[in-house]
Amino acid sequence: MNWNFSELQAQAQQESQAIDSPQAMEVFRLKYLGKKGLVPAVFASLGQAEPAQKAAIGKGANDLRSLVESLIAEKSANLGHAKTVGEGVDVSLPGGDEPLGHYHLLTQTMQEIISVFEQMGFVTIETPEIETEFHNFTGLNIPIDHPSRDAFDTFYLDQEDPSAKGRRLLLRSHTSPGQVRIMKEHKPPMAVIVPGRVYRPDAVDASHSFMFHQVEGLLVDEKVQFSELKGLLTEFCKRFFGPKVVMRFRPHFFPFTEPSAEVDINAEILGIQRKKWLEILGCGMVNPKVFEAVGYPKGKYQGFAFGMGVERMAMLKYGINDIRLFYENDVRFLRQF
Amino acid sequence: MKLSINWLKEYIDPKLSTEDLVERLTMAGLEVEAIEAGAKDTVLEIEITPNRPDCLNILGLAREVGAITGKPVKYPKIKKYKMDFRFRGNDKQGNIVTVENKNDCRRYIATLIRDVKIADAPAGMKQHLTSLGISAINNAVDITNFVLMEIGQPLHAFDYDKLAGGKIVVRRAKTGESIVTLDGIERKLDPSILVIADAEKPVAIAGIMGGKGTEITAATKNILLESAHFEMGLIRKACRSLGLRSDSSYRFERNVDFDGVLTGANRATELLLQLTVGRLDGRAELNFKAKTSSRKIKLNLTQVESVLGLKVTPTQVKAWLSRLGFKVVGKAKVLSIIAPHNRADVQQDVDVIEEIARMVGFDRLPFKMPVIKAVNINVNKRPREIKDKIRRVLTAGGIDEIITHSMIAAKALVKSNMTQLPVVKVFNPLSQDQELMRPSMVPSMLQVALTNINRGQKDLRLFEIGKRYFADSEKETLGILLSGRRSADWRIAKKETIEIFDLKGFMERIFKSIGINPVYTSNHWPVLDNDCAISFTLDEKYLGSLGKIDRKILNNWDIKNQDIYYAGLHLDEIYPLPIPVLKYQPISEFPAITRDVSVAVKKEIPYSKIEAICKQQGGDILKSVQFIEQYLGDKVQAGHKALVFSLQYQSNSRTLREDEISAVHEKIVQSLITDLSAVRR
Repeated sequence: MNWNFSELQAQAQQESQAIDSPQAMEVFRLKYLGKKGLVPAVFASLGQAEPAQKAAIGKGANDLRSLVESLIAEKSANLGHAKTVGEGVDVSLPGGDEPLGHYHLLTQTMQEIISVFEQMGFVTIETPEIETEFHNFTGLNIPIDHPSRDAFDTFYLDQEDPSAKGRRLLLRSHTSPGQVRIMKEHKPPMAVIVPGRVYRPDAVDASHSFMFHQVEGLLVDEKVQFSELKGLLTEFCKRFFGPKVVMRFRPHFFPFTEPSAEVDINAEILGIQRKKWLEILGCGMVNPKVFEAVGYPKGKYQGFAFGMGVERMAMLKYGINDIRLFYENDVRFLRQF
Repeated sequence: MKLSINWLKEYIDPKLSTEDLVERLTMAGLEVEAIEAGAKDTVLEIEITPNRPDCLNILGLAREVGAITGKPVKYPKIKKYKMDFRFRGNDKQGNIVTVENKNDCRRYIATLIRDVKIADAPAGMKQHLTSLGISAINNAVDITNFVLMEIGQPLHAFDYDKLAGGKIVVRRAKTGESIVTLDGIERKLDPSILVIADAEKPVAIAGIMGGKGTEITAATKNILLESAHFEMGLIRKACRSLGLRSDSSYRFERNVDFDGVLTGANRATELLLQLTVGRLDGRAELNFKAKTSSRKIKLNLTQVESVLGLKVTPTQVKAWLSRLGFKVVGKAKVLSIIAPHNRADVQQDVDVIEEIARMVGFDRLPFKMPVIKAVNINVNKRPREIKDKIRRVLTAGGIDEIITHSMIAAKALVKSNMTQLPVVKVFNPLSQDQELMRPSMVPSMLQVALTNINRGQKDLRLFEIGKRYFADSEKETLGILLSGRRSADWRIAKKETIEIFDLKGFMERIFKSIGINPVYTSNHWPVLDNDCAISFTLDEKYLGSLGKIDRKILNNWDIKNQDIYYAGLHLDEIYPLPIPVLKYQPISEFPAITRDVSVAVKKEIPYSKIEAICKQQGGDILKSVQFIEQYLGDKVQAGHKALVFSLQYQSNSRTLREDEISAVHEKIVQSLITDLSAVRR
């Protein structure tokens, strides 16, 4: 039999151009390389071939096979179906559904806040939720019967304070008593973060809860400036809310800091239109009266402190409009984050 | 505090748009919370912090606006009236005022104005009052409110003819006394409450509200005007115990200016004489001003720089502070500062530094990153490490973290059959949901399960790392709650429900991740079903339990159609345990041979016993025992169970021969037969 190999090659070239689907590819492959295809037929014809032609026919068959194989490889790559899933699998069916658990959004937010400060050199310390009046108020320059306490309405416990006869223990109304405890126990320099639960007897509604979380920060050294407080919190807000955040420091009053400030960020960065500024945290330079209360020598140290509500940060960042969602723990809420 | 722009403009024109004024006030620490723009007037609602009672009046705010803008303030000229010696205080002859305890009342000025004509106040005054949300009543009462808002001194006008004996006694209420206040409500009094009484009875609750019986009416002929200074703490306590507050008490609680008592009396006297066309009969004054130490504050300008990071000159400081009414003496680096008498909040140099910062503007202060030194506080990292590991293990296992309240209702404990636990009660709960600090995580977690089930979410895998609270401690605890289907994967045709070994598996994974190996025993915890409960102990120390929640408890909670599995782990017991040291175990290069064993044993024999015998008899070459299956059906003898497990043999140093494996394997099986009466299957 005479084979016109150059014609066969040209034909294969031409046919391969028209391949536009895996099915067409398969037809093409079978035509040349299949059991009953052309290439095996050429090899089969070797038996009857003239001895002088055998070498040429063998070479022709091999060349044709190589060409077809390379055409298939080339075309498959172009088709993007180099490795097709076997037929019979509906690739659109959902994958396996072993559930994945979620960290509570408050844990995630708390960890994110803490990690920013830890990256800057702060150490995290937890202090008790059941506190004394000294740690929660007096040591922080909040007189017991004074309107400055109005912001810190407090749950008391049916339990006497072992360190102050006749006074009840209480549930801390802020994380600031952590400042007093840590300063009583340690000497500066210090840069600490105190996260945890706090309690205030507020009637529950969309924006109030009788229990919530705060993160407190405290930095004390011999020379610490308000300008450094501004620098640190500006950096924090950039990392937490994004580099485009705009902040403002507004004078405010906290008995345990002087000067005191509240920090607002631009509502725009969170896509909020109804307000221009959103209050996010309170801060200030540690009041020398607090240093006095913890027994530091007069005039030796300076420091700053700040505190923020974790729920508030999470609500702002994730557009949550009801604080109760955090404690209801509807799994459809938990699984969103 | 409300600020009417029209009223403000009577003293100062800030020459600013409302928007700019709002911005400037806010950035000076007088945060404008709301703006009510009306046709004729704009009223700002300003949050005054408790350290600034001097700003709780229009003139105080005018002074601040003046300081912020540098524009002059036009203070009203107030006539001065002298004390009349026909009227005396404290039991001198002819007295009209007695103060029983000067600590309760440091100053009392009573002005008697006769032959008044009670009518409406002029329209301008009424407008000012209504702009601040105060209703106009009559000229006399409106004048007291006007002066309160203008100067900040609370005043009260009595109908003098209704005061028994024509006397004023400032004293504590007697037990059993009561008074009907101006709002028509009868209020019970007690000796913790300071009252203004006449010769017979209380006629006003000092600093808070006057009495109905002596109020000014159209028929009033003679007025006794009170201007006083009451002890702030006393007023605050009385407000709390009576549940009654007023514009006056709000200011007394925050401390009124001692000097303002006279200014207020004079201003109101002048207006009363003018508007009620009465005549001044006389005035009694008691003044027990406490001696105060010098309020001179030394301000070192290097300290200003050290706190604010801002260089300032004496001239700048003088300019800023004098606008706020401070006296500044000196020209060098150290200045002597005297704050105005109504600025009790300014006591130390940092207070003055804050005033400087306010005048500069916090936003104009420089900012830079702090130098944070390495902190020499050694925090025990183990608790956090353990909690992190638990969170990772459980979330990887499909369990969602929850956070619940630390307080619960007493009845939640009853429903959970936990009344035997010691509890710490909340003294002043707002609702029954806050009655006590939880001694267990169970009620909180059941509540979450119930909430979800009621909302159609029945496949629950929940955990919380929280605290239990006791009289002397707060204990960190892990709670896990599982219920519903094990998996919702579509490939698993038969959806199996969660059972106790799901929970035990999670606990085992936790223990492995934190490197402890507790002993499991059956358990009797009243919360769990006795037949389905496991407790874990380590060196005989109880670490916690897991199991199926008792059906009766679930019924109490109204959880009807599904079982709930719960595990509690006392993390506080684990934190102090020695930290396990992990060492690499070489992986054998030689083949492992696995042989299965299938035996029937009596039901009460625990698998752990079988495992122990295998390990004991297996010696060095037994690498592991792997549990495969338990069969409890009727194909085994009654009272028995069939167990299948596989034994893996392997050596680290050579390939094991078939005969030595067989010898050991047979030895193990024989021991099971002789020691446990096991039957080969």
